[in-house]
Amino acid sequence: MGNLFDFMAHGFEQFFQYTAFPHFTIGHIVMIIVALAFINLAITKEYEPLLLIPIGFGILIGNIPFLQDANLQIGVYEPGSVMNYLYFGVIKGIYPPLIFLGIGAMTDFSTLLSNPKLLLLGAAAQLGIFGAYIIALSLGYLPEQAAAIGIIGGADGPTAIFLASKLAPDLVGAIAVSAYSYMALVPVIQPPIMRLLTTDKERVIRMKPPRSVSKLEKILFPIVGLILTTLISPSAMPLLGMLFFGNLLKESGVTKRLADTAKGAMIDIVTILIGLTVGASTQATTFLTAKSVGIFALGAVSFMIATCGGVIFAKVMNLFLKEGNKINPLIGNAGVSAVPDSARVSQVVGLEYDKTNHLLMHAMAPNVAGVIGSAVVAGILLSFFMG
Amino acid sequence: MFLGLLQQTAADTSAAIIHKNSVKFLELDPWGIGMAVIGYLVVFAALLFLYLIFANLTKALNLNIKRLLRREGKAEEIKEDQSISGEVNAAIAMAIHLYYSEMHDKEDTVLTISKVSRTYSPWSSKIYGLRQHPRF
Repeated sequence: MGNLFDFMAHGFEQFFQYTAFPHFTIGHIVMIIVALAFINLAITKEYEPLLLIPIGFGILIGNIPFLQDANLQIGVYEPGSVMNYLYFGVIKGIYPPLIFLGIGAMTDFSTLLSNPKLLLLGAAAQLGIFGAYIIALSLGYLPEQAAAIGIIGGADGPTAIFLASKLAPDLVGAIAVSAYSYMALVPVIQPPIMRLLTTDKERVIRMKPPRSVSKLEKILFPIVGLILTTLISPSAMPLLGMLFFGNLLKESGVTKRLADTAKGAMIDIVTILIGLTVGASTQATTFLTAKSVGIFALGAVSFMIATCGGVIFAKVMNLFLKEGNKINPLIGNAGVSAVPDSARVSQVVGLEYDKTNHLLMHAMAPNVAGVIGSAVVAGILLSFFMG
Repeated sequence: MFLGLLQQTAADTSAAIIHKNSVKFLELDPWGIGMAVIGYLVVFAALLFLYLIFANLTKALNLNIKRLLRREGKAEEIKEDQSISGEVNAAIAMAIHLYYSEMHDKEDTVLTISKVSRTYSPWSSKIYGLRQHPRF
Protein backbone atom coordinates (compact mmCIF):
# COMPACT_ATOMS: atom_id res chain seq x y z
CA MET A 1 0.00 0.00 0.00
CA GLY A 2 2.85 2.34 0.96
CA ASN A 3 4.48 1.63 -2.37
CA LEU A 4 1.30 2.62 -4.18
CA PHE A 5 1.17 5.94 -2.31
CA ASP A 6 4.84 6.58 -3.05
CA PHE A 7 4.20 5.81 -6.72
CA MET A 8 1.16 8.13 -6.81
CA ALA A 9 3.03 10.90 -5.01
CA HIS A 10 5.92 10.53 -7.40
CA GLY A 11 3.51 10.54 -10.34
CA PHE A 12 1.84 13.72 -9.13
CA GLU A 13 5.19 15.36 -8.52
CA GLN A 14 6.36 14.41 -11.99
CA PHE A 15 3.10 15.66 -13.50
CA PHE A 16 3.45 18.91 -11.55
CA GLN A 17 6.92 19.40 -13.01
CA TYR A 18 5.44 19.09 -16.48
CA THR A 19 2.84 21.79 -15.80
CA ALA A 20 3.63 25.49 -16.27
CA PHE A 21 3.25 26.45 -12.59
CA PRO A 22 6.69 25.55 -11.18
CA HIS A 23 8.43 27.32 -14.08
CA PHE A 24 6.61 30.63 -13.88
CA THR A 25 8.84 33.62 -13.25
CA ILE A 26 8.13 37.33 -12.81
CA GLY A 27 9.37 37.76 -16.39
CA HIS A 28 6.65 35.46 -17.73
CA ILE A 29 4.01 37.41 -15.85
CA VAL A 30 5.37 40.71 -17.20
CA MET A 31 5.29 39.36 -20.74
CA ILE A 32 1.74 38.06 -20.32
CA ILE A 33 0.69 41.52 -19.14
CA VAL A 34 2.40 43.01 -22.22
CA ALA A 35 0.50 40.53 -24.41
CA LEU A 36 -2.80 41.46 -22.80
CA ALA A 37 -2.00 45.16 -23.27
CA PHE A 38 -1.35 44.54 -26.98
CA ILE A 39 -4.60 42.64 -27.41
CA ASN A 40 -6.46 45.32 -25.47
CA LEU A 41 -4.96 48.14 -27.59
CA ALA A 42 -5.89 46.25 -30.75
CA ILE A 43 -9.48 45.61 -29.73
CA THR A 44 -10.44 48.74 -27.81
CA LYS A 45 -8.36 51.39 -29.63
CA GLU A 46 -8.11 49.52 -32.95
CA TYR A 47 -4.36 50.26 -33.13
CA GLU A 48 -3.01 48.01 -35.91
CA PRO A 49 -5.27 45.10 -34.89
CA LEU A 50 -4.09 42.90 -37.78
CA LEU A 51 -0.61 42.93 -36.26
CA LEU A 52 -1.13 43.46 -32.57
CA ILE A 53 -3.60 40.58 -32.15
CA PRO A 54 -1.30 37.93 -33.72
CA ILE A 55 1.76 39.37 -31.93
CA GLY A 56 -0.09 39.68 -28.62
CA PHE A 57 -1.40 36.15 -28.84
CA GLY A 58 2.04 34.96 -29.93
CA ILE A 59 3.53 36.54 -26.80
CA LEU A 60 0.98 34.60 -24.74
CA ILE A 61 1.94 31.36 -26.50
CA GLY A 62 5.65 32.05 -26.08
CA ASN A 63 5.35 32.84 -22.40
CA ILE A 64 3.55 29.80 -21.12
CA PRO A 65 6.56 28.21 -19.41
CA PHE A 66 7.31 24.52 -19.69
CA LEU A 67 9.90 22.02 -18.54
CA GLN A 68 13.09 22.79 -20.40
CA ASP A 69 15.49 20.03 -21.49
CA ALA A 70 12.66 17.50 -21.57
CA ASN A 71 12.74 17.36 -25.37
CA LEU A 72 9.06 18.26 -25.55
CA GLN A 73 9.65 20.06 -28.85
CA ILE A 74 7.06 22.76 -28.23
CA GLY A 75 8.99 26.01 -27.81
CA VAL A 76 9.80 28.33 -30.69
CA TYR A 77 13.53 27.90 -30.06
CA GLU A 78 13.43 24.09 -29.81
CA PRO A 79 14.55 22.41 -33.04
CA GLY A 80 11.84 20.17 -34.44
CA SER A 81 8.87 21.97 -32.89
CA VAL A 82 6.04 23.25 -35.08
CA MET A 83 6.64 26.80 -33.87
CA ASN A 84 10.32 26.45 -34.71
CA TYR A 85 9.47 25.42 -38.26
CA LEU A 86 7.15 28.41 -38.61
CA TYR A 87 9.79 30.69 -37.08
CA PHE A 88 12.17 29.55 -39.81
CA GLY A 89 10.42 31.98 -42.16
CA VAL A 90 11.37 34.84 -39.84
CA ILE A 91 15.00 33.95 -39.17
CA LYS A 92 15.70 33.20 -42.81
CA GLY A 93 13.94 36.35 -43.99
CA ILE A 94 11.31 34.49 -46.04
CA TYR A 95 8.17 36.20 -44.78
CA PRO A 96 9.16 39.87 -45.29
CA PRO A 97 9.53 39.65 -49.09
CA LEU A 98 6.18 37.84 -49.30
CA ILE A 99 4.57 40.65 -47.31
CA PHE A 100 6.20 43.15 -49.67
CA LEU A 101 4.63 41.30 -52.60
CA GLY A 102 1.22 41.84 -51.04
CA ILE A 103 1.99 45.48 -50.20
CA GLY A 104 3.04 46.06 -53.81
CA ALA A 105 -0.22 44.56 -55.05
CA MET A 106 -2.17 46.83 -52.71
CA THR A 107 -0.29 50.07 -53.27
CA ASP A 108 -1.40 52.75 -55.65
CA PHE A 109 1.59 54.87 -56.63
CA SER A 110 -0.58 57.40 -58.53
CA THR A 111 -0.19 60.22 -56.01
CA LEU A 112 3.56 59.73 -56.06
CA LEU A 113 3.64 59.75 -59.85
CA SER A 114 1.52 62.88 -60.01
CA ASN A 115 3.98 64.73 -57.76
CA PRO A 116 7.31 62.84 -57.89
CA LYS A 117 9.19 65.43 -55.83
CA LEU A 118 7.43 64.01 -52.77
CA LEU A 119 9.73 60.99 -53.16
CA LEU A 120 12.36 63.10 -51.44
CA LEU A 121 10.29 63.24 -48.25
CA GLY A 122 10.45 59.44 -48.17
CA ALA A 123 14.23 59.73 -48.30
CA ALA A 124 14.39 62.50 -45.69
CA ALA A 125 12.47 60.50 -43.10
CA GLN A 126 15.12 57.79 -43.21
CA LEU A 127 17.09 60.11 -40.95
CA GLY A 128 15.54 58.20 -38.05
CA ILE A 129 17.37 55.03 -39.04
CA PHE A 130 20.79 56.65 -39.09
CA GLY A 131 20.11 58.78 -36.00
CA ALA A 132 19.16 55.69 -34.02
CA TYR A 133 22.22 53.88 -35.43
CA ILE A 134 24.54 56.58 -34.05
CA ILE A 135 22.81 56.63 -30.67
CA ALA A 136 22.80 52.82 -30.42
CA LEU A 137 26.53 52.74 -31.18
CA SER A 138 27.22 55.31 -28.47
CA LEU A 139 25.23 53.17 -26.02
CA GLY A 140 27.56 50.25 -26.62
CA TYR A 141 25.65 48.12 -29.10
CA LEU A 142 27.77 46.40 -31.74
CA PRO A 143 27.62 48.09 -35.16
CA GLU A 144 25.55 45.31 -36.74
CA GLN A 145 23.14 45.38 -33.79
CA ALA A 146 22.94 49.17 -34.01
CA ALA A 147 22.08 48.92 -37.71
CA ALA A 148 19.35 46.35 -37.04
CA ILE A 149 17.95 48.52 -34.24
CA GLY A 150 18.13 51.69 -36.33
CA ILE A 151 15.94 50.22 -39.05
CA ILE A 152 13.00 50.40 -36.60
CA GLY A 153 12.98 54.11 -37.52
CA GLY A 154 11.99 53.14 -41.04
CA ALA A 155 8.65 52.16 -39.51
CA ASP A 156 8.48 49.12 -41.66
CA GLY A 157 7.98 45.85 -39.76
CA PRO A 158 8.90 43.44 -42.59
CA THR A 159 12.04 45.43 -43.43
CA ALA A 160 13.06 45.52 -39.78
CA ILE A 161 12.60 41.75 -39.48
CA PHE A 162 14.43 41.15 -42.77
CA LEU A 163 17.47 43.17 -41.73
CA ALA A 164 17.53 41.96 -38.12
CA SER A 165 17.33 38.32 -39.25
CA LYS A 166 20.48 38.86 -41.30
CA LEU A 167 22.51 41.12 -39.02
CA ALA A 168 21.39 40.35 -35.46
CA PRO A 169 19.27 37.18 -35.38
CA ASP A 170 19.22 37.12 -31.58
CA LEU A 171 17.48 40.50 -31.51
CA VAL A 172 14.77 39.76 -34.10
CA GLY A 173 12.00 39.34 -31.52
CA ALA A 174 12.76 42.56 -29.67
CA ILE A 175 13.22 44.57 -32.86
CA ALA A 176 10.03 43.25 -34.47
CA VAL A 177 7.90 43.82 -31.40
CA SER A 178 9.36 47.29 -30.98
CA ALA A 179 8.81 48.18 -34.67
CA TYR A 180 5.22 46.99 -34.71
CA SER A 181 4.42 48.56 -31.35
CA TYR A 182 5.60 51.98 -32.47
CA MET A 183 3.87 51.58 -35.83
CA ALA A 184 0.67 51.09 -33.87
CA LEU A 185 1.50 54.15 -31.79
CA VAL A 186 2.14 56.45 -34.76
CA PRO A 187 -1.07 58.44 -34.02
CA VAL A 188 0.28 59.11 -30.53
CA ILE A 189 3.97 59.77 -31.31
CA GLN A 190 3.80 61.92 -34.42
CA PRO A 191 1.20 64.71 -33.89
CA PRO A 192 3.02 66.58 -31.07
CA ILE A 193 6.25 66.63 -33.11
CA MET A 194 4.37 67.83 -36.21
CA ARG A 195 2.72 70.66 -34.25
CA LEU A 196 6.01 71.61 -32.62
CA LEU A 197 7.89 71.94 -35.90
CA THR A 198 5.29 73.81 -37.97
CA THR A 199 3.77 77.27 -37.85
CA ASP A 200 0.04 78.06 -38.11
CA LYS A 201 0.59 79.43 -41.60
CA GLU A 202 2.38 76.31 -42.79
CA ARG A 203 -0.29 73.98 -41.44
CA VAL A 204 -2.97 75.47 -43.69
CA ILE A 205 -0.97 75.39 -46.92
CA ARG A 206 -3.20 74.02 -49.67
CA MET A 207 -1.38 71.75 -52.02
CA LYS A 208 -2.09 71.51 -55.72
CA PRO A 209 -4.53 68.62 -56.23
CA PRO A 210 -2.90 65.50 -57.67
CA ARG A 211 -3.38 65.05 -61.40
CA SER A 212 -4.78 61.89 -62.92
CA VAL A 213 -2.04 59.44 -63.90
CA SER A 214 -2.05 57.42 -67.11
CA LYS A 215 -1.99 53.63 -67.13
CA LEU A 216 1.32 53.66 -69.02
CA GLU A 217 2.98 55.64 -66.23
CA LYS A 218 1.60 53.25 -63.65
CA ILE A 219 2.97 50.25 -65.56
CA LEU A 220 6.35 51.85 -66.15
CA PHE A 221 6.82 52.79 -62.49
CA PRO A 222 7.43 49.29 -61.06
CA ILE A 223 9.74 48.35 -63.93
CA VAL A 224 11.83 51.52 -63.95
CA GLY A 225 11.65 51.78 -60.16
CA LEU A 226 13.02 48.27 -59.70
CA ILE A 227 15.85 48.77 -62.15
CA LEU A 228 16.90 52.13 -60.70
CA THR A 229 16.71 51.30 -57.02
CA THR A 230 18.28 47.86 -57.23
CA LEU A 231 21.10 49.18 -59.39
CA ILE A 232 21.98 51.43 -56.47
CA SER A 233 21.18 48.96 -53.71
CA PRO A 234 21.17 45.35 -55.05
CA SER A 235 21.04 43.92 -51.50
CA ALA A 236 17.49 45.22 -51.23
CA MET A 237 16.46 43.02 -54.18
CA PRO A 238 14.34 40.53 -52.16
CA LEU A 239 12.23 43.37 -50.78
CA LEU A 240 12.13 45.80 -53.69
CA GLY A 241 11.84 43.01 -56.26
CA MET A 242 8.75 41.65 -54.58
CA LEU A 243 7.28 45.11 -53.93
CA PHE A 244 7.53 46.20 -57.55
CA PHE A 245 6.52 42.76 -58.84
CA GLY A 246 3.35 42.92 -56.75
CA ASN A 247 2.66 46.41 -58.09
CA LEU A 248 3.09 45.28 -61.68
CA LEU A 249 0.63 42.44 -61.04
CA LYS A 250 -1.86 45.10 -59.98
CA GLU A 251 -1.20 47.73 -62.60
CA SER A 252 -0.79 45.47 -65.63
CA GLY A 253 -4.51 44.76 -65.44
CA VAL A 254 -4.09 41.29 -66.92
CA THR A 255 -3.08 39.41 -63.76
CA LYS A 256 -5.98 40.33 -61.53
CA ARG A 257 -6.19 36.84 -60.05
CA LEU A 258 -2.53 36.87 -59.02
CA ALA A 259 -2.81 40.41 -57.64
CA ASP A 260 -5.93 39.45 -55.69
CA THR A 261 -4.14 36.45 -54.17
CA ALA A 262 -1.02 38.47 -53.34
CA LYS A 263 -2.96 41.25 -51.60
CA GLY A 264 -5.60 38.97 -50.11
CA ALA A 265 -5.16 35.43 -48.88
CA MET A 266 -1.39 35.29 -49.22
CA ILE A 267 -0.52 38.43 -47.27
CA ASP A 268 -3.08 37.45 -44.63
CA ILE A 269 -1.49 34.02 -44.17
CA VAL A 270 2.01 35.45 -43.95
CA THR A 271 0.86 38.20 -41.56
CA ILE A 272 -0.64 35.56 -39.27
CA LEU A 273 2.54 33.47 -39.35
CA ILE A 274 4.94 36.38 -38.91
CA GLY A 275 2.90 37.99 -36.14
CA LEU A 276 2.37 34.80 -34.19
CA THR A 277 5.96 33.54 -34.43
CA VAL A 278 7.54 36.91 -33.71
CA GLY A 279 5.28 37.18 -30.67
CA ALA A 280 6.16 33.64 -29.59
CA SER A 281 9.86 34.43 -29.90
CA THR A 282 9.62 36.88 -27.01
CA GLN A 283 10.03 34.26 -24.30
CA ALA A 284 10.73 36.03 -21.03
CA THR A 285 13.91 34.02 -20.48
CA THR A 286 15.50 35.33 -23.67
CA PHE A 287 13.55 38.54 -24.25
CA LEU A 288 13.48 40.41 -20.95
CA THR A 289 16.99 41.76 -20.93
CA ALA A 290 18.51 45.22 -20.63
CA LYS A 291 19.23 45.03 -24.36
CA SER A 292 15.55 44.60 -25.21
CA VAL A 293 14.58 47.54 -23.00
CA GLY A 294 17.25 49.59 -24.76
CA ILE A 295 15.85 48.54 -28.14
CA PHE A 296 12.40 49.76 -27.10
CA ALA A 297 13.78 53.13 -26.04
CA LEU A 298 15.83 53.46 -29.22
CA GLY A 299 12.81 52.51 -31.32
CA ALA A 300 10.85 55.45 -29.93
CA VAL A 301 13.79 57.80 -30.51
CA SER A 302 14.22 56.64 -34.10
CA PHE A 303 10.51 57.23 -34.83
CA MET A 304 10.77 60.74 -33.45
CA ILE A 305 13.91 61.56 -35.44
CA ALA A 306 12.30 60.15 -38.60
CA THR A 307 9.22 62.34 -38.11
CA CYS A 308 11.41 65.40 -37.54
CA GLY A 309 13.45 64.54 -40.65
CA GLY A 310 10.37 64.41 -42.87
CA VAL A 311 8.68 67.56 -41.52
CA ILE A 312 11.87 69.66 -41.53
CA PHE A 313 12.78 68.56 -45.06
CA ALA A 314 9.32 69.58 -46.31
CA LYS A 315 9.97 73.04 -44.85
CA VAL A 316 13.37 73.15 -46.55
CA MET A 317 11.81 72.16 -49.88
CA ASN A 318 9.32 75.01 -49.51
CA LEU A 319 12.22 77.48 -49.54
CA PHE A 320 12.90 76.48 -53.14
CA LEU A 321 9.33 76.03 -54.38
CA LYS A 322 7.17 78.67 -56.03
CA GLU A 323 3.93 79.89 -54.45
CA GLY A 324 1.19 77.49 -55.46
CA ASN A 325 3.58 74.53 -55.56
CA LYS A 326 4.41 74.61 -51.87
CA ILE A 327 4.19 71.50 -49.72
CA ASN A 328 2.22 71.37 -46.50
CA PRO A 329 4.90 70.25 -43.98
CA LEU A 330 2.28 68.21 -42.15
CA ILE A 331 2.75 65.51 -44.79
CA GLY A 332 6.46 65.23 -43.97
CA ASN A 333 5.74 62.80 -41.14
CA ALA A 334 4.33 60.36 -43.70
CA GLY A 335 7.87 59.75 -44.97
CA VAL A 336 8.08 57.00 -42.37
CA SER A 337 6.61 53.99 -44.07
CA ALA A 338 3.87 53.04 -41.63
CA VAL A 339 1.29 52.74 -44.43
CA PRO A 340 -1.31 54.21 -44.23
CA ASP A 341 -1.24 55.22 -40.57
CA SER A 342 1.23 58.07 -40.86
CA ALA A 343 -0.63 59.46 -43.91
CA ARG A 344 -3.83 59.28 -41.88
CA VAL A 345 -2.10 61.25 -39.11
CA SER A 346 -1.27 63.99 -41.66
CA GLN A 347 -4.93 64.14 -42.68
CA VAL A 348 -6.24 64.25 -39.12
CA VAL A 349 -3.77 66.91 -37.95
CA GLY A 350 -4.34 68.92 -41.15
CA LEU A 351 -8.11 68.91 -40.62
CA GLU A 352 -7.65 70.28 -37.11
CA TYR A 353 -6.41 73.56 -38.65
CA ASP A 354 -8.50 73.67 -41.84
CA LYS A 355 -11.62 71.57 -42.06
CA THR A 356 -11.58 71.55 -45.86
CA ASN A 357 -7.89 70.86 -46.44
CA HIS A 358 -7.63 67.14 -47.22
CA LEU A 359 -3.99 66.02 -47.02
CA LEU A 360 -4.48 62.27 -47.21
CA MET A 361 -3.95 61.95 -50.95
CA HIS A 362 -0.79 64.07 -50.80
CA ALA A 363 0.53 62.25 -47.74
CA MET A 364 0.20 58.86 -49.43
CA ALA A 365 3.03 59.88 -51.79
CA PRO A 366 5.79 60.23 -49.17
CA ASN A 367 4.23 57.29 -47.37
CA VAL A 368 4.81 54.85 -50.23
CA ALA A 369 8.14 56.54 -50.99
CA GLY A 370 9.08 55.73 -47.40
CA VAL A 371 8.48 52.03 -48.08
CA ILE A 372 10.91 52.20 -51.00
CA GLY A 373 13.34 54.33 -48.98
CA SER A 374 13.47 52.03 -45.97
CA ALA A 375 14.00 48.98 -48.21
CA VAL A 376 16.87 50.80 -49.96
CA VAL A 377 18.42 51.64 -46.56
CA ALA A 378 18.09 47.99 -45.50
CA GLY A 379 19.98 47.06 -48.67
CA ILE A 380 22.66 49.67 -47.98
CA LEU A 381 23.18 48.43 -44.41
CA LEU A 382 23.30 44.82 -45.58
CA SER A 383 25.92 45.63 -48.18
CA PHE A 384 27.98 47.48 -45.55
CA PHE A 385 28.07 44.54 -43.18
CA MET A 386 27.87 41.53 -45.48
CA GLY A 387 29.93 42.89 -48.33
CA MET B 1 21.81 16.08 -43.28
CA PHE B 2 24.36 17.20 -45.84
CA LEU B 3 22.07 20.09 -46.83
CA GLY B 4 21.69 21.07 -43.17
CA LEU B 5 25.46 21.02 -42.73
CA LEU B 6 25.88 23.15 -45.82
CA GLN B 7 23.31 25.68 -44.54
CA GLN B 8 25.03 25.78 -41.16
CA THR B 9 28.38 26.39 -42.83
CA ALA B 10 26.89 29.21 -44.93
CA ALA B 11 25.37 30.79 -41.81
CA ASP B 12 28.71 30.55 -39.98
CA THR B 13 30.46 32.18 -42.93
CA SER B 14 27.97 35.09 -43.00
CA ALA B 15 28.31 35.56 -39.25
CA ALA B 16 32.10 35.60 -39.60
CA ILE B 17 31.93 38.21 -42.37
CA ILE B 18 29.53 40.38 -40.36
CA HIS B 19 31.80 40.11 -37.30
CA LYS B 20 34.89 41.02 -39.35
CA ASN B 21 33.16 44.08 -40.82
CA SER B 22 31.79 45.03 -37.43
CA VAL B 23 35.29 45.09 -35.93
CA LYS B 24 36.48 47.17 -38.88
CA PHE B 25 33.61 49.64 -38.38
CA LEU B 26 34.40 49.99 -34.69
CA GLU B 27 37.99 50.82 -35.53
CA LEU B 28 37.40 53.21 -38.42
CA ASP B 29 34.04 54.77 -37.57
CA PRO B 30 33.40 54.28 -33.84
CA TRP B 31 30.63 56.95 -33.71
CA GLY B 32 28.90 55.76 -36.86
CA ILE B 33 28.87 59.24 -38.41
CA GLY B 34 30.65 58.15 -41.59
CA MET B 35 28.28 55.26 -42.20
CA ALA B 36 25.24 57.43 -41.44
CA VAL B 37 26.33 60.14 -43.85
CA ILE B 38 27.13 57.70 -46.66
CA GLY B 39 23.91 55.72 -46.11
CA TYR B 40 21.75 58.84 -46.01
CA LEU B 41 23.35 60.24 -49.13
CA VAL B 42 22.90 56.95 -50.99
CA VAL B 43 19.19 56.65 -50.15
CA PHE B 44 18.72 60.29 -51.11
CA ALA B 45 20.56 59.70 -54.37
CA ALA B 46 18.41 56.64 -55.15
CA LEU B 47 15.13 58.48 -54.62
CA LEU B 48 16.39 61.69 -56.25
CA PHE B 49 17.32 59.64 -59.30
CA LEU B 50 13.84 58.11 -59.34
CA TYR B 51 12.29 61.59 -58.98
CA LEU B 52 14.30 63.02 -61.87
CA ILE B 53 13.44 60.09 -64.12
CA PHE B 54 9.71 60.23 -63.38
CA ALA B 55 9.42 64.01 -63.44
CA ASN B 56 10.88 64.00 -66.96
CA LEU B 57 9.24 60.78 -68.12
CA THR B 58 5.82 62.21 -67.32
CA LYS B 59 6.60 65.37 -69.28
CA ALA B 60 7.87 63.30 -72.22
CA LEU B 61 4.77 61.09 -72.20
CA ASN B 62 2.44 64.10 -72.05
CA LEU B 63 4.27 65.78 -74.92
CA ASN B 64 3.96 62.61 -76.97
CA ILE B 65 0.21 62.35 -76.27
CA LYS B 66 -0.29 66.05 -77.19
CA ARG B 67 1.64 65.57 -80.45
CA LEU B 68 -0.44 62.53 -81.37
CA LEU B 69 -3.71 64.34 -80.58
CA ARG B 70 -2.64 67.38 -82.62
CA ARG B 71 -1.76 65.14 -85.54
CA GLU B 72 -5.22 63.59 -85.35
CA GLY B 73 -6.76 67.06 -85.22
CA LYS B 74 -8.08 66.65 -81.69
CA ALA B 75 -6.15 69.53 -80.18
CA GLU B 76 -9.24 70.67 -78.27
CA GLU B 77 -9.12 67.42 -76.25
CA ILE B 78 -5.82 68.45 -74.69
CA LYS B 79 -6.57 69.46 -71.15
CA GLU B 80 -3.85 71.35 -69.36
CA ASP B 81 -5.23 70.82 -65.89
CA GLN B 82 -5.76 67.15 -65.18
CA SER B 83 -5.95 67.54 -61.43
CA ILE B 84 -8.71 66.27 -59.19
CA SER B 85 -9.66 68.57 -56.35
CA GLY B 86 -9.45 67.52 -52.72
CA GLU B 87 -13.23 67.88 -52.33
CA VAL B 88 -13.84 65.49 -55.24
CA ASN B 89 -11.39 63.00 -53.76
CA ALA B 90 -13.05 63.31 -50.37
CA ALA B 91 -16.49 62.78 -51.97
CA ILE B 92 -15.25 59.69 -53.84
CA ALA B 93 -13.69 58.33 -50.64
CA MET B 94 -16.91 58.97 -48.73
CA ALA B 95 -18.96 57.24 -51.43
CA ILE B 96 -16.70 54.19 -51.35
CA HIS B 97 -16.78 54.17 -47.55
CA LEU B 98 -20.58 54.32 -47.54
CA TYR B 99 -20.77 51.61 -50.18
CA TYR B 100 -18.61 49.28 -48.14
CA SER B 101 -20.17 50.16 -44.82
CA GLU B 102 -23.57 49.36 -46.37
CA MET B 103 -22.42 45.77 -46.71
CA HIS B 104 -22.52 45.34 -42.98
CA ASP B 105 -21.38 42.03 -41.65
CA LYS B 106 -22.19 42.66 -38.02
CA GLU B 107 -25.82 41.62 -37.92
CA ASP B 108 -27.85 40.59 -34.97
CA THR B 109 -28.28 36.87 -35.44
CA VAL B 110 -31.16 36.65 -32.95
CA LEU B 111 -34.22 36.31 -35.16
CA THR B 112 -36.92 35.76 -32.57
CA ILE B 113 -39.66 38.35 -32.17
CA SER B 114 -39.42 40.07 -28.86
CA LYS B 115 -42.70 40.14 -27.04
CA VAL B 116 -43.92 43.52 -25.96
CA SER B 117 -46.71 43.47 -23.45
CA ARG B 118 -49.00 46.47 -23.53
CA THR B 119 -52.13 46.78 -21.55
CA TYR B 120 -53.57 49.29 -23.97
CA SER B 121 -53.55 49.19 -27.76
CA PRO B 122 -55.55 51.35 -30.17
CA TRP B 123 -56.29 48.20 -32.13
CA SER B 124 -58.20 46.76 -29.28
CA SER B 125 -59.69 50.00 -28.03
CA LYS B 126 -63.47 50.19 -28.25
CA ILE B 127 -63.49 53.95 -28.51
CA TYR B 128 -62.24 53.85 -32.11
CA GLY B 129 -65.06 51.48 -33.07
CA LEU B 130 -67.74 53.98 -32.02
CA ARG B 131 -69.00 57.02 -33.87
CA GLN B 132 -67.59 60.23 -32.45
CA HIS B 133 -70.29 62.86 -32.00
CA PRO B 134 -68.97 66.32 -32.72
CA ARG B 135 -69.21 68.72 -29.79
CA PHE B 136 -70.14 72.30 -30.32
